[in-house]
Amino acid sequence: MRFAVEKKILLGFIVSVIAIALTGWLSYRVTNRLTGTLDMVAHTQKAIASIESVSAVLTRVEAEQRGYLLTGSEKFLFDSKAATVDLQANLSRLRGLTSDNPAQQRYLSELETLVARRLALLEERIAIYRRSGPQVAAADTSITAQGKEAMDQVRRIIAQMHGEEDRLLLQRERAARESSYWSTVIIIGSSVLAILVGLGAAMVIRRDLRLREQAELKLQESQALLESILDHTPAIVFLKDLQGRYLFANRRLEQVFKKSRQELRGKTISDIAPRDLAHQSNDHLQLVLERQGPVEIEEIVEHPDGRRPHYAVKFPIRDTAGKIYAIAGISMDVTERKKAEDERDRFFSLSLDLLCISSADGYFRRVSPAVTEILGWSVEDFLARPFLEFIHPDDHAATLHQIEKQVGKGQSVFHFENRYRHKDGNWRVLSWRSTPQGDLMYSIARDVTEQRAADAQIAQLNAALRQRATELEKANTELLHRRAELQSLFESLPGLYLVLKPNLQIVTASDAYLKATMTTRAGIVGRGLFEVFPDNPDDPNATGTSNLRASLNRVLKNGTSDTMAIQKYDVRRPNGVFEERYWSPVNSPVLGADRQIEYIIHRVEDVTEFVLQKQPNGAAESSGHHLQARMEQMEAEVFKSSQDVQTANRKLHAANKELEAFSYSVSHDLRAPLRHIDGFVDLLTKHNGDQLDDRGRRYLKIIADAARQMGTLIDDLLVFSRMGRAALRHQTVDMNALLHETVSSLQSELNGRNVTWKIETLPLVQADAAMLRQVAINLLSNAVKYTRPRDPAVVEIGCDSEAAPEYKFFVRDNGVGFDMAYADKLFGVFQRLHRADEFEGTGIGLANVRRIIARHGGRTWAEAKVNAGATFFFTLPKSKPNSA
Amino acid sequence: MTPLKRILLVEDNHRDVELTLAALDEFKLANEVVVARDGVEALDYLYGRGQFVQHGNGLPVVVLLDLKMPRLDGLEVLRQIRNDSALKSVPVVMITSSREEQDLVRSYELGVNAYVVKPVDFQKFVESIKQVGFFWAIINEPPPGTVKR
Repeated sequence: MRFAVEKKILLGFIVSVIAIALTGWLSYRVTNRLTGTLDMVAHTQKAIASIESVSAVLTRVEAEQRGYLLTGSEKFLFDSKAATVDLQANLSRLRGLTSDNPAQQRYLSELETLVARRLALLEERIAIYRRSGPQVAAADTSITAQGKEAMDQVRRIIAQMHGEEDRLLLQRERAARESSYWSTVIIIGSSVLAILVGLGAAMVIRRDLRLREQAELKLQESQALLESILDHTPAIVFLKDLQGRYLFANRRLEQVFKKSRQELRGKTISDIAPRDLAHQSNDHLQLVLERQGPVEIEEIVEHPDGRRPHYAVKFPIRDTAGKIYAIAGISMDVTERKKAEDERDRFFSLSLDLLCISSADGYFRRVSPAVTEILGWSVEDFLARPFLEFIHPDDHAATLHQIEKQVGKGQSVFHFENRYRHKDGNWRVLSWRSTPQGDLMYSIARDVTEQRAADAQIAQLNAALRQRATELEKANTELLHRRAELQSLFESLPGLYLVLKPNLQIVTASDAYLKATMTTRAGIVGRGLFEVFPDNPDDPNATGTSNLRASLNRVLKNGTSDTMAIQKYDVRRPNGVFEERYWSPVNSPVLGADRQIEYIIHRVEDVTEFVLQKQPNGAAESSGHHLQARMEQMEAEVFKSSQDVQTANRKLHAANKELEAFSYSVSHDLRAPLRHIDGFVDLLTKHNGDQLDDRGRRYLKIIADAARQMGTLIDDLLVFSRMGRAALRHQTVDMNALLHETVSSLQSELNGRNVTWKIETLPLVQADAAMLRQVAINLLSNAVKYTRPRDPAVVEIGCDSEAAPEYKFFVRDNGVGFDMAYADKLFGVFQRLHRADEFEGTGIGLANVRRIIARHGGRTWAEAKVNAGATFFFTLPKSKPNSA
Repeated sequence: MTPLKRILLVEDNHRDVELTLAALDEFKLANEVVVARDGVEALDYLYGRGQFVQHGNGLPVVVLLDLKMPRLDGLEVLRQIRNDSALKSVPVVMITSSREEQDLVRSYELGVNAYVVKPVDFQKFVESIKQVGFFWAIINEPPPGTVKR
């Protein structure tokens, strides 16, 4: 548009110039012609004047000569001569003027001849006049006639010449008029034309200028629009000159650099950004200039809140001549995108599964670093070769089929397994899931080699198991046979055997037992023992079943055999009558593989005959009989004493119950008043202490001390009692750990004393840990207490494991010792061998030790000398004791 | 300072009540202490019935509960508190003379928050009560719905 206008202006100008030049040239031409024409007219007029002058001068020459001839006055002759000269001049001028006209020249030559003859005639007359006087001269008429004839001819020729010139004049004047007219026409015409052309050009230019103004207005608008767009784009946009000075900066750049565009204009990046970033920016500028084209780069931009990654395009700006005059840049903050990319990349690179993108050309495009973990290859190794090279040759066809399925049909693969070569040469089974996208396949693979191996192993094991099951079945069948054999063997045993389940249900019995009890196998098997064999309801003293029950309970509790005293049973006969039987039963547990009781075998020796024989106590004749009688008597005594023991046990049990209730009530009720005494003494001291004198306050203190001491005694007694009652919880106890823990727990009581501990390696025992800890505390704190005067105190702890069937532990100190005469009192409750003001304590500790060790089936004793230290021994059985 | 919270003391022995109050007084624990003289009264208080029908303003910050009491003993009171959805979050501390293991085991089975044996020595008793009171009435954040006065 702009160029078009300029062209138009140029064109208009040229046209105008040409029009004006043409006008000028035309004007010049016509003016020139007119001037020429006018010159010709003037020439002609001059020629006419010359002709008339020749005629006039000739007439004057005649007149002068006549005047002389008449008067003879020489004066006329003189003038005639001047006129003749004049005539000659006029004639020669006329010759010049008519040189362009041959006809006039001819007339002129004729005229000159005639003039010369006339003049000669005049001279002749004058000469006659002078020689012969005036009459002769006058008489000579021939001359006069000749003169007159010449003069006439002259006049005729002049008239012709005049006429010729007049005609020329007329012609030329007409030409001049014509020429003048055309000149006017052409000048006016060409001027009008020039004006029109100029006007036209001006109009066209004016119109274009208006269009151009509008265009410029539009340009300004679009520039404002552009600027507004640039200001609102989130990217940084700038324009720099080739020296790196800012020419333009958009609002984003202003915000990032915290400088207005006015401030930025003319500045370079080095004025604004840190040195390293300025270098970077300048390098980019250089790059654009070197390439002469756009450059895409990542760069770092310093934002007010720190540095951020940017993605930028920088490109040269050229002028119309194609010369670069500026560099523009557009730079986007890609922090978020980077972060997202980083996250995605991390996801990709941290994946435990193998992630890959592969192409239908048979190469992986991208694989996650998991490939190194799974297959040993580096990512570069893996990308460098076609993937088929890594795949087991037997799997090629299947793999290609899966690829074809994806790339060819666009189907996803949800499960596919093939073998890949590990860098170490082994094959790894990979389980694939893959989905196609164009020519690419996006896949996830997991190493399932171990899983597949495990599957194979499971299959193998399963097969082995099936084999085993078959064998077992066979064995079972054999076993069934064997069992039937054993069963009949057992049933035929001569002894009396009854087999019970732990719930005392009868499993089976020997034929002898059935015979002795007068029962049938079918009648008792599956029923409860005491349902089948109840006590005789008619005998209130019957204890047989309750004794049996107690014995069976002991077996169940301890897992060991229990031999019962001779029992009297009233066996009910099939007819309902009870018959008295004396039996000596042994109950033995049958342990299963898990050490739990599976069966109890109840074996019975029927001693009824002996007992009944002993009662009548007939005379013993023979020594054999005597011996037998003695034996029977002993048996009976044993039976009786066992009955007594059982009674005593029952009483003991009841007493224990009572003791438990007693100590519980002691714990609650006996301590309460003591607490009240102490509490109210304290309150009394606080509230009324100042009203009492020293003695009164001392009494109060004694009351309180006494109450507290009694509290301590009760507490100790309760602990002691509890030691006797609490159930033992057997577990494996590491005596080393236990003793070392105890030693460290006693450190706080040492008050900086110098105590050397020597602890041997101690065994593991089966015992109640809490109780043994109590034993350790009591013995070690005693040792510490009674070595108080020693420096260094030495406490040795050891164990003699050789003394089967028990461990013998000892605690030896180098303390004050004691007199062995009182050694038996040592382990009694509240028994003390020292005064309370010498060594504090209630005297219950060793009683507790003895009670705990006794409950574990061990023994306690002490050896000492006064002032020569003491050694306390205790033993623990190596196997778990049977009873508490 | 946070508002003070009410303590419920359940104790049948008036001497023990007096000593406990004296102990609480000793360290200037200014919380209001409501005394119930046995298990029945304790539950009456907690349910806002009987002689406590007026109180009706929320649960105590802690219940100090004696074990051995006439009518309804401490273990039974504890059992009823723990079985009631409205009461079960109330902290309960056994304050008892009994060192018996069976009592300890039973109390913890029923969900007691703490078990304190009353020592004979009054100063130790004061110290125990002080620590119990300080912890439950001041340090511990009670369940919502606990009355503050």
